[in-house]
Amino acid sequence: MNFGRAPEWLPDLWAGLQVTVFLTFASMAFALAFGLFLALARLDPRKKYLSWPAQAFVELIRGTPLLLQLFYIFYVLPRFGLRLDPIVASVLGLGINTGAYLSEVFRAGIEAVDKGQWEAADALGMPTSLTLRHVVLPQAFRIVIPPVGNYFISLFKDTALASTISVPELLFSGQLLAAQTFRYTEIYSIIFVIYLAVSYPASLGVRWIERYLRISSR
Amino acid sequence: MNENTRPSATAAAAPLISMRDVHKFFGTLEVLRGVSLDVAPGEVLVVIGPSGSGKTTLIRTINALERIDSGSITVKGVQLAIPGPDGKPRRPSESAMRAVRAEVGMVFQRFNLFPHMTVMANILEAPIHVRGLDHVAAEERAQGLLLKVGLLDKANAYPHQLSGGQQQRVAIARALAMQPEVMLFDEVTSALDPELVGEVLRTMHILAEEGMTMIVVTHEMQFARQVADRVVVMDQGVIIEEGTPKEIFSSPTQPRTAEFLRRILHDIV
Repeated sequence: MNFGRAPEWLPDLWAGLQVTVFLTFASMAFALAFGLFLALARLDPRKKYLSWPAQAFVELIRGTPLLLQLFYIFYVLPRFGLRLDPIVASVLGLGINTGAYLSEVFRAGIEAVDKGQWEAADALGMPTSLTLRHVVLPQAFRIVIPPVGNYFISLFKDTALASTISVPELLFSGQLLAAQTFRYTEIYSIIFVIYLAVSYPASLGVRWIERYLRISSR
Repeated sequence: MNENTRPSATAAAAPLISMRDVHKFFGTLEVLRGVSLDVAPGEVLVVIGPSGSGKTTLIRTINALERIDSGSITVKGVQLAIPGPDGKPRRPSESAMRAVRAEVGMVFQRFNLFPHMTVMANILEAPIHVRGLDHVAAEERAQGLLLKVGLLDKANAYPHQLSGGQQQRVAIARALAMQPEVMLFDEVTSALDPELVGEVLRTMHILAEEGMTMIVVTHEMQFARQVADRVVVMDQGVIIEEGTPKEIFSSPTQPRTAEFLRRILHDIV
């Protein structure tokens, strides 16, 4: 092993890491909005026209590999006239996938809010949307912060799949460098460390938030 | 205070709440088996009876927290349950429910304050966002109510910083902030430590003196005796007896009433 030339590789890897971080945040933003939408659509089982398609979609996404979903968006959608930039396709694929999982988390969080809160709001004549926005979601939000944090870290690592559709993120940058230099061991080892250097402190952060919330909620 | 000194409800007044032959099932269990009841404006009605007798379900039907399976309920002229083509009551329309709930305040056994909001925000929420009251007027009203329940200094506290009795008084203020015509109290002292019961009952006593129409489900017989205009005794989903507190407590006509009172007054329930 020879890490002597590592400084030459770092600019490319740094650029790759930036793309990885961008993918993570962009996909997460999409996933949060989409996941909340799916969770709300499934909230009232009497509204079958909403809950049924949302449920079916969640099962579809959770029942198939993320990598296949990415390929589908990138290689198959163009046949139907939707040609997407690799980065856009990745954000869409990662966001939809994570959103489907988050919708379960959100639904559980909403259901974990004491039923008495709904009753109090009902008794005050508050309409459902107001109750959700002002009473239930703010409380559910606290409940779901730790699991959402963990999905966020998973997503950070899952962005590596975007390398398969040629997004120049961290792993892809490494693959290019390795192919040029044949220094597979050194380069993949560095990438190992970079992923860990980001995700481990992040998971410590999530754990800290979890503990903080447990203490501050009485 | 008793019904003689209070501007008492007369039987002649048009009822504010009218229930006719109300039936309610939970699964196959019939928890209300044909209840009819009129409540006049200004009346204080106390509902007593053994647990499982349907008291709580009864008052929860009045603001449509529970739907009924047959019969009719009218609150201030608004029909909450109208029989559909099959003779069974349809689900009340969203607007009918909203109209009724705006007139009916409710206080729960477990307070159900919004824990992420201050006392003031709890009270302001519905007047501003449901009634459309402007912030200044709503806050003025809220301060008046907090003064009434003796918690003006707690306006900026969060519910978990208050005792159970204080939380329950905030819950009363929150319900009153909608300026309801009727207040429903569902065993509001049952979750409180004994030493905190008095402060909540006193607040309810004041409301009664002010002429608020109240339906109170409680095990506090002293309160029933002192404040009620009329006491309704429920058992197994039906009203078995009703009358003035004097009639019910001194000379109940039903053996089951006598038995219930004997047990609860000797604390062996």
